[in-house]
Amino acid sequence: MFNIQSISDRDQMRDASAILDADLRKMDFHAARISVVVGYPRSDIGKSELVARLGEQLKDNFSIIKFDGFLNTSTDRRKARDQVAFGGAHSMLSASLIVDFLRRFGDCKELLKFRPHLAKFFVLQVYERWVALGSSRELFLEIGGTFTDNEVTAYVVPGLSILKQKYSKVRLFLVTAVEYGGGGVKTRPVVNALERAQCLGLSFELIFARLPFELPVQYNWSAINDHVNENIRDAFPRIPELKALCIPFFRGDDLPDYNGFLLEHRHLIFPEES
Amino acid sequence: MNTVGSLEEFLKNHPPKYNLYYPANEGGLANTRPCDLFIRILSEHVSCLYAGTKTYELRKYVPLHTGWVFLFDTDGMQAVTGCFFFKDCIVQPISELWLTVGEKATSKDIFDSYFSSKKFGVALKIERVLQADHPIYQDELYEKFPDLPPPPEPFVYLYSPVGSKFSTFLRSRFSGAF
Repeated sequence: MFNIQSISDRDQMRDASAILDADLRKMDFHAARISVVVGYPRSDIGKSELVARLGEQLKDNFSIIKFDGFLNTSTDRRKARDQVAFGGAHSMLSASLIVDFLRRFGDCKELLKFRPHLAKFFVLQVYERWVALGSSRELFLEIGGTFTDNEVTAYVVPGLSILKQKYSKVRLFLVTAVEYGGGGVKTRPVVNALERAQCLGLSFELIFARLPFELPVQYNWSAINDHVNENIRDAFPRIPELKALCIPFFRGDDLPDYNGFLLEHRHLIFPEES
Repeated sequence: MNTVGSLEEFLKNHPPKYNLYYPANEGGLANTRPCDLFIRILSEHVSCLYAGTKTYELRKYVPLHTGWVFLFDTDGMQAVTGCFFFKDCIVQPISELWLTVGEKATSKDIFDSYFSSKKFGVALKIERVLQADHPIYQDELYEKFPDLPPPPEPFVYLYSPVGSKFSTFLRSRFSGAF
């Protein structure tokens, strides 16, 4: 059980919307660049690996925040309670976020909703963590699971839209995967991801399409990358700015090559640096 | 409907410019009959609507009906991606309307630009929002409903009676949410 604050400490009689909007207006990221990374169609698709390696490229002055949708607080060393202690401001848990929100606004007279109220609170929590982590010039925000998970669609995706509306230096990255079958790569999962995203109001600056483990060792990365981008252009002819970068399935001794690969394509990942 | 100001005069001078869609063999549309609506809207407004920060949809004309409004994203994928429900709308002189809806509709710049040279404005009060499982693309819409009127001009409604093939088709893409 969490500790209930005294009634007088709460914002029970106040207008939650006015408080949240006032706090959002005060939010100042000092021109920091925020890179948000989401995944689809499954978790464990390589978001953390990508974020860590992109961060490594930036050397210092960056911070990482990871959102997880866990609601449980079991003590099996990998769930909410331990991660809070372990991750500190780097960790953002759905359960804790909702508890904090209810502590502050739970008794207010206004009818509270996941969106926009909890979504705005999510944005403010990102901001508070960024400040707590030293107001770095680069912030990576990784959204655990997939962007279609219930808790993510309920208030995280709306929160990301609000963040983008309020602050222009937000870049949204999708990590997805192409499949291999019948002697070729299949881009349907990528197209599905983009269709689902569109219905949620998400638009991506770059799509990282991880190549399948089963791909024959000798393959033409450039041809596959072109093929994936062509299929995306065919599927979304009215959104020419959509671009994908195929990521080889680095494994074992090849893993250090991942850094070099990202460095080589940094102009696609952060085109504003060019 | 909650009306303020000289609505009768407004309606007299600005008769509704509707483009009614009657699928073949389904008869006409009685004004008293509930119906679904279909509007064209820019993707930036759709994003705000899905984020919950936009709770009023601005229009230049008073709708004949209230109900579910299907949203056709005109500048992004050109597809229906979601819908909202409204049962009330506000008609006010432009300056009063801004005081009523403010940024819960859009930014002041866009508001002023949209209603420039207008005396009255209309705001639909959004009560509930649904997002489609997958986009319904323009090509698919016109393939299934070839007599669907082409985009005539922005902010013109297309009506279809509840239970029509068109409404049923659109509603089927929302995982039984209706």
